[in-house]
Amino acid sequence: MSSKPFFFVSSLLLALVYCLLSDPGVQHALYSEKWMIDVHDGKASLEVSLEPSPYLLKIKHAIQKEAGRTVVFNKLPIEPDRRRFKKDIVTDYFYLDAASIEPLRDDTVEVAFQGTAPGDVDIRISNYQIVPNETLSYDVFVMFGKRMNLSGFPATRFALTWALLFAGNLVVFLLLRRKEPGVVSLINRANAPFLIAGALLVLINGVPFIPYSIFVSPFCFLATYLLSFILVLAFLCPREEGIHGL
Amino acid sequence: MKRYNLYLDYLIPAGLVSFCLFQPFFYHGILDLFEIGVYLPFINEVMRGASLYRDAVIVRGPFEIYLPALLMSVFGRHLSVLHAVFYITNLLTLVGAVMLARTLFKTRLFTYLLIPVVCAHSFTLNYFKNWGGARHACGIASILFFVWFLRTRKRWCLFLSGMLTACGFGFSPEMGLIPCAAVFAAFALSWYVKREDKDARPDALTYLQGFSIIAVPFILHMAFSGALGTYLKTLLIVPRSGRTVYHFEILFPDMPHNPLQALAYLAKPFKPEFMYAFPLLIYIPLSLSFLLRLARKKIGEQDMAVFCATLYALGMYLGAFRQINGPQFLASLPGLFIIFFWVLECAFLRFKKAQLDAPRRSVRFAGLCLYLAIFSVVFINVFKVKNFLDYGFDLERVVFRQISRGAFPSGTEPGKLTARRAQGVIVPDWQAEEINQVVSYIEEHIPQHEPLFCFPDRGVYNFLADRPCWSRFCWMDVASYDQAWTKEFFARLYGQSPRYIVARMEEEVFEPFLKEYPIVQNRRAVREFISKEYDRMASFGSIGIYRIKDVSAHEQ
Repeated sequence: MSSKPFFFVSSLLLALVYCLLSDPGVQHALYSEKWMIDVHDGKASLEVSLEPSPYLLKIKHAIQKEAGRTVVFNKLPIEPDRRRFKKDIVTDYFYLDAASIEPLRDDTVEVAFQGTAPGDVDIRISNYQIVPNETLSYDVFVMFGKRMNLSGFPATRFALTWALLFAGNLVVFLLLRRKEPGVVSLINRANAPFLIAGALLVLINGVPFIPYSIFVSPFCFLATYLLSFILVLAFLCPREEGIHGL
Repeated sequence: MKRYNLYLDYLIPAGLVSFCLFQPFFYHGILDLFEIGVYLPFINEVMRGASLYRDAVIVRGPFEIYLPALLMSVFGRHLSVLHAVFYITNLLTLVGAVMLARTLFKTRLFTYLLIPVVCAHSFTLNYFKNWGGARHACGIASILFFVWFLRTRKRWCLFLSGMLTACGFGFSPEMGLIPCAAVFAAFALSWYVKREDKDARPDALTYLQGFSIIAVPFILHMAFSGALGTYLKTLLIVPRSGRTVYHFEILFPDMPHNPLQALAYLAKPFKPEFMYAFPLLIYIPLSLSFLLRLARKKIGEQDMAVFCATLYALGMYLGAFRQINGPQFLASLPGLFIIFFWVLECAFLRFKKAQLDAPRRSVRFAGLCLYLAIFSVVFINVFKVKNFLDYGFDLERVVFRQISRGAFPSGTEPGKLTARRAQGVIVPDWQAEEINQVVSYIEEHIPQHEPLFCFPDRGVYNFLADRPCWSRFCWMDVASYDQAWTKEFFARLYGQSPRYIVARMEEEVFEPFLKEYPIVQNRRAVREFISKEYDRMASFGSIGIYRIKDVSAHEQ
């Protein structure tokens, strides 16, 4: 197959990946709340109204030696899926599946201590996690549960993105066509790694047995694409010093 | 000789650095009263006609005070001028670093890839407007001009390099000594490699001429104003202060204090402290490879330039061990990343050559590893730059919509400073309240020309309220650097006690750890003296304003 039609198609596919991975509806679907609950008589309880979808419950408090603790969610005792210790603070992570959420009723979280109890408990509930962490960036969201097309298919965004990516590829083509003989194939190969990685993420979002979805910010998409494109172009370019002029 | 394109090689990279660090509202945001307190009272003294070192003893170079004082005399006596000096000169440092990289690198690609990395690591929100600045700009510019000289053999570059080294020395002695050592080491190497070539000696002379044109008038000025003795004394005392005054080994036992200790952190690649040891991973193999090339007599102009830049970066890194968890280490990172990216570029060019000669599977695998290494380093730093730009947008919201989310710690509302010399600067409300109240009180209750003692490091009020310093130790901790100064300070405190004192009486977190050190003992002695001899007139937040009990004794 000639590489020229693929050069046209690759920008089309990239635009599709962009629209599926970088959905503006994600910002509205994100849920994260934090409470600091005082402990009375060894108990801290919270009532909250949640949508029927999976959540991450995080319970953080000072470590109390020789003290037991139970966590009850909607009257069912739950065990932490992960536990982290930092100095004298313990953080427990509980993954709550959609079935455990009470529809149309307030959900209750109860933390009960046996023996000496800490003064307060930090409770956080969210339906997403930032990757790798919030300090570094707020650009890659792993949302619990399957979520596709949060705001419907954005035809205008898709068309604009495709036009922009195609124009960008065309500019590179025009700049390099005299200096690099196989420029179309080079551009296609430079697009390929990002396209494959993006398609994999879209696939993860689509596969039913993977219980989460991944979304990225437009900045993350653009930065990753540009960096990947430029580096692959430099590494693949047959010249000794990479792309001519660089 | 390689030809450069003005736009692609210089203007666009400089523009990209400026874009990455764009902060139109840099003068807003929380104030680090300690850091700006190291400058503002001295600037105030200079603008009142005092001579530095004779009338006001500082532990940094005099240009650190003269430059903002000069700009304040042009643009007005305002706090934001000091922040502008730091912001712009820090920006220039990174522009200089990228220019230096472009001169050392063979490809433009790696210069462009370096930009987000160098911006993200060395231009932090904590320090960009109150630390570093001109001294590092002079240091890196001096190396840049020296490298340009190696490339072009134009003597004016060398002359300018000498001038900038002297300026660096005027800002901070280490920023004169490190570039000077790097340049002379390059001269020595040049002499060793080409012994029959007699060019090295006149070159060194040109460099020294450039150095002298700044240094001689400066020394004469210091000598005639009676400040030279104290200045020379500070040059001897200050380098030892990390042990004699603060002792960082006691304050920060969990961090390395020399390169040998840093080696241990190589075993912790997933901890942030690994960064302290990372430069060793670059400098040690590079030194070995350089020695090998030297033994094989394969040293060229390019190696000479890289040698000089590496020595500068290494000097900065070794200098950072005085307190490696502080901004000194961040300031050493531009040099490190230039050398790191130069190494990556060499690996990339070697890969390209191997790819053309023999495209084997092992070559492809090596290329893939290199690609992933470069991609991940740049990728992470792009987000750090974005965070910095986001902070700018947060500040914009503070300025135009009074929304503090993101710009200030959570739950903090913005407040405006009303003091004439800081009017309009937006800071967290608790800080604004304290500063506004203290300054208004001083202006209402303390006469205009009454000397004010701001204890221990709140000299910022001398500037904001425009009151002269009571002694030549505007920042009293400087008196702890030397026993003779301590005696002088206390003789004056007990003999000619100030009528008014602005004091923060709370102990600093570091004080319990350094009980036996003069800095803490002196602070305690002053606190006891204030409690015994002074009445508190008012208190605002953590600041108390005190008046001497026995006014007649003061007047005698």
